[in-house]
Amino acid sequence: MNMKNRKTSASSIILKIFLVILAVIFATPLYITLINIFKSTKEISSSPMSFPLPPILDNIIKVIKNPNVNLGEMYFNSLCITIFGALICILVSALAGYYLARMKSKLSQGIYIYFLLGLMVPYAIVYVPLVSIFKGIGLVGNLPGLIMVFVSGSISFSVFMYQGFIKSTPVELEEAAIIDGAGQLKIFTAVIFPLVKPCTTTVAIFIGLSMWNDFLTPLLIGQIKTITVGIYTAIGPYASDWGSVFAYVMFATLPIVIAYLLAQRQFIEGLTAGALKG
Amino acid sequence: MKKKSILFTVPAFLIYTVLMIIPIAGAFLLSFTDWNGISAAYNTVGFKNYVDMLSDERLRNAIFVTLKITAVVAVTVNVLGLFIAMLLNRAKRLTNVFRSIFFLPYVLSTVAISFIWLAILSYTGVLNSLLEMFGMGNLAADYIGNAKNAIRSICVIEIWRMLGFHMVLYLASIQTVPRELYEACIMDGGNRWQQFRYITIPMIIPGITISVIMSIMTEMKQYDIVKVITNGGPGYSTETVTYNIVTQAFGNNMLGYSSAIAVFLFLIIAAVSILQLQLSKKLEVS
Amino acid sequence: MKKKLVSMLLCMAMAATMITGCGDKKAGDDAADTADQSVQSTQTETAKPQETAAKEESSGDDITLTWAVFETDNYTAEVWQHIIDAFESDNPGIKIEKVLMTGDSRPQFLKTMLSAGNMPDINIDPVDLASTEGVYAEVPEELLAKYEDSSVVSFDGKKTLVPAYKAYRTQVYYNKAQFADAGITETPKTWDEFTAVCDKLQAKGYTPLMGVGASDLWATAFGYWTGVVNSELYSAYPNFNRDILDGKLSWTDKVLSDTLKSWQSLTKYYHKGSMSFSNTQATSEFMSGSAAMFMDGAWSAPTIDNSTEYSADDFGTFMMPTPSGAKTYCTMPQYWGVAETCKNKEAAFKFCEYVLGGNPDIYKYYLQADGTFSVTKTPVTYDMGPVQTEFIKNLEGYELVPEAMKLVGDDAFPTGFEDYTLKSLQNIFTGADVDKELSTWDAEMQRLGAQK
Repeated sequence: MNMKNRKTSASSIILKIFLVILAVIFATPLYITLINIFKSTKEISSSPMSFPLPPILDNIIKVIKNPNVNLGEMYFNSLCITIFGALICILVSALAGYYLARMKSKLSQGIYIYFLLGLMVPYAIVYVPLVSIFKGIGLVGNLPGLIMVFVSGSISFSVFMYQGFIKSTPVELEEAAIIDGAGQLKIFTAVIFPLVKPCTTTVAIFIGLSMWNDFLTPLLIGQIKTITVGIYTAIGPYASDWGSVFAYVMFATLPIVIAYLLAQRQFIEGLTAGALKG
Repeated sequence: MKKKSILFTVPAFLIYTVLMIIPIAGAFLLSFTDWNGISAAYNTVGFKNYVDMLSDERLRNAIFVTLKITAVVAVTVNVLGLFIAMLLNRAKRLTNVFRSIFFLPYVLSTVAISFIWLAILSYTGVLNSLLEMFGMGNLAADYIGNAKNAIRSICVIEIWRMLGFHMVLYLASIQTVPRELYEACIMDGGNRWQQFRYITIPMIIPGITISVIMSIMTEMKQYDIVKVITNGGPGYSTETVTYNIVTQAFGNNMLGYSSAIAVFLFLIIAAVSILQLQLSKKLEVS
Repeated sequence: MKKKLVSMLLCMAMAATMITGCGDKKAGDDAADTADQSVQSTQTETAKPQETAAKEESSGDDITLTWAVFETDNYTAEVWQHIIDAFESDNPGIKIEKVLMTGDSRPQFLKTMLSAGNMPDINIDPVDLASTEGVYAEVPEELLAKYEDSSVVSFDGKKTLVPAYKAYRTQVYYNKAQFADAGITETPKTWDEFTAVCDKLQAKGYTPLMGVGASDLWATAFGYWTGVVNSELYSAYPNFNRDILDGKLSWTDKVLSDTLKSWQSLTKYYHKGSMSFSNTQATSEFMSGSAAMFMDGAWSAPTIDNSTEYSADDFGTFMMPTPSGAKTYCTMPQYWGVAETCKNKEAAFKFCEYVLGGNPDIYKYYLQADGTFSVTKTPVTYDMGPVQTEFIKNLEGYELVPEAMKLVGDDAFPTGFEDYTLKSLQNIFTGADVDKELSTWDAEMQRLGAQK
């Protein structure tokens, strides 16, 4: 609109420059990480900001060859946890969210608050009692157990999101389905679930991300080697071998970065639009 | 509307109750014991753990450290985030690029971030090397091993990590404000600042609330970065409450006591969240 | 419906796998099955035999034991594998599965494994948990008879640890070239000579001392504590640990206070970046010449000897002089433990016996890796490099005393106390009031001791 053009002047250029400077400062650590993967540790210490010419692959090869680091296993663990954890959580939370959004009873409200309690818990509280319970069910130290732990940790947020989102969808579609004689479950699968796709995307990304990056939980519950725990251990005594450190970091973050770059819009819009709807 | 079967909530309810609520209740009960986490026997000691907490200097320090970090990071991230969001809102074409750059740190794992920053902040690391390159070698400092700097470093890292997220949140929030309101304001002769204060802010109160609550909750549970970079040190200067809990539990074999601390933390976070929600309800524009 | 979401996630997954070329694991199928079913029947979940880190009972003839190890510059994966291979070829029917202790706190790792029911069968560095009853199994007397009497320890009468080796603690490593350049012709023998050396180095523009900090909390005070403080305490009070535990002495003792104050007088000689270096970083900084001296552990001697980057002839070592002139040194005994939960204790003890003396070549190999020394009644020795040889030679004329913080058994300090003191010592190093810090130690020891 026209009124904006008045202001396309000195102040807005200054602000743009400010933005650029800020962005550069922000991106610097990432730039440093990227270029230093391909430099030897000595070169990193002496000239940290220089572009690697020629780039060397020694660091990466060292990580792959490290007998203690089974990248395949670590990726597998992290992926399993993330994918299955997210799937299960989404399923059960959407179901619950549907009920909570459509039923306006006191009971429904109570259950909703019950689910929200989990958001305020520092997860550290839960570890040891959790492990004791797990021992009884036989789920300790293995992948399914860890997956269920992550699921339970994400339910609060997911229910919160689904409840809010479903609430804001029109009921007409459901009512039409009811008139057509559809049962409750059918309504859910045929009508509701497709409708909340944006929310599902949001939730999937949000909890998937937190499951992938989680460090403390796999460490304390059964010592499962996810990628984050794995690199923490592998780097451990060699933390001053900067070349290796950056290579490890690359392995840990590459999948996420790639997924992020590919699905950027979904990531960002999903994460924030969802948070706002709540 | 037809009644929905409560069965819909059953799967979530089960998983959540068994794996979340029951352990929390368990932790709550544990806080009244002196269990050491290993042997089978333990005693119930009533409120002893809670009383001990009052005189625990190390805990008091941890609370202080956590509050400091939370305050600094939450304020910076929200104020700066909002400011940058306002800027980006008008940048149009380049918005996406900036958004990607600012947001990327949030997506990375905290352990990876810690190692990256360790390489930067170490005394012989990137930052000091850069200072030397530019002839400012005398400004080189110890950003990790010096108590005052260590906390600042942690704050900086957290801000770097979280700023993008909050900025994007505010950006989306701002974009929900209807244009007509701004137009009306301008026609009434309002300048930029007045637009901001009387239209933008009130309309994005829900977004502000969520952003602030999230930043507070995230920082109060701070553990990963502290653990990897300073291990709570030097001394106790960067020990956060969560770090304290984990140390007491697994380091000192005092699980009953650490559960009491954890329950305490939970109550604080809950209280802060509830207060925030009440406050925002009052400020909300329907 | 879910299709789009699933396909998107699968896309990401495929992208990730293609990049890293990860392998497949059979266990993945099991995990998938259980995960799907759990949605329907959380309650009826049964314990499926999953791939776990715990031991598996022998199906057939093979017994598999899990062995918890840790890695350092010296204890590399090759070292452990060599030991495992040797044992397995001499003992068909027993397989050893290596479990790498994650994180940086070995006791913490073991404790989480213990509470998860996954305790590895054989543990290295079990000392922390050994003080709790029922964690480790009692060692057969015939096995214990092979070791020096002084190395055998008991907890409430129970002998649950197998002696592994003894390690010397610390000396001052120094850079010969820098010393020569600063005009220092002899290594210092007294405290005053030591400070004089520091001054000479500083005058020539060298940094006298290297320090450690960052996340290696244990390392800041390590050299000074084991090399100086421990000596002063034990020469003044031959029964220090017992006396303190019985209440006859307090941590505010003048000897301790004075010795720590002497340490504070040295802080001006330390490298400015010390507190931001991890231990490995500090070591490599020292070796590259950033400082002239470094109070480091005995493990560095073989590291320097075996270094491919630097020549061992460039470095030397000497005993750190103490303010009072006391000439003592301490050793840290290390042990192995067999978990009480182990299902094949006989095989487990067989493994211990094999590595720790039973096969002299393997024992020598193990000891040589980290530069430690045998505790078997018939000693096992090996050829040492120049720095390590000098290290051992320096001990002549010094008296052996226990190391307060590392004492095992009934005279040991409560769990968590050592960590407390390490943090406090860091505070002292960065300038805190010594007496004020020490005044908190007694109370903390009481508090932790009450927790059994």
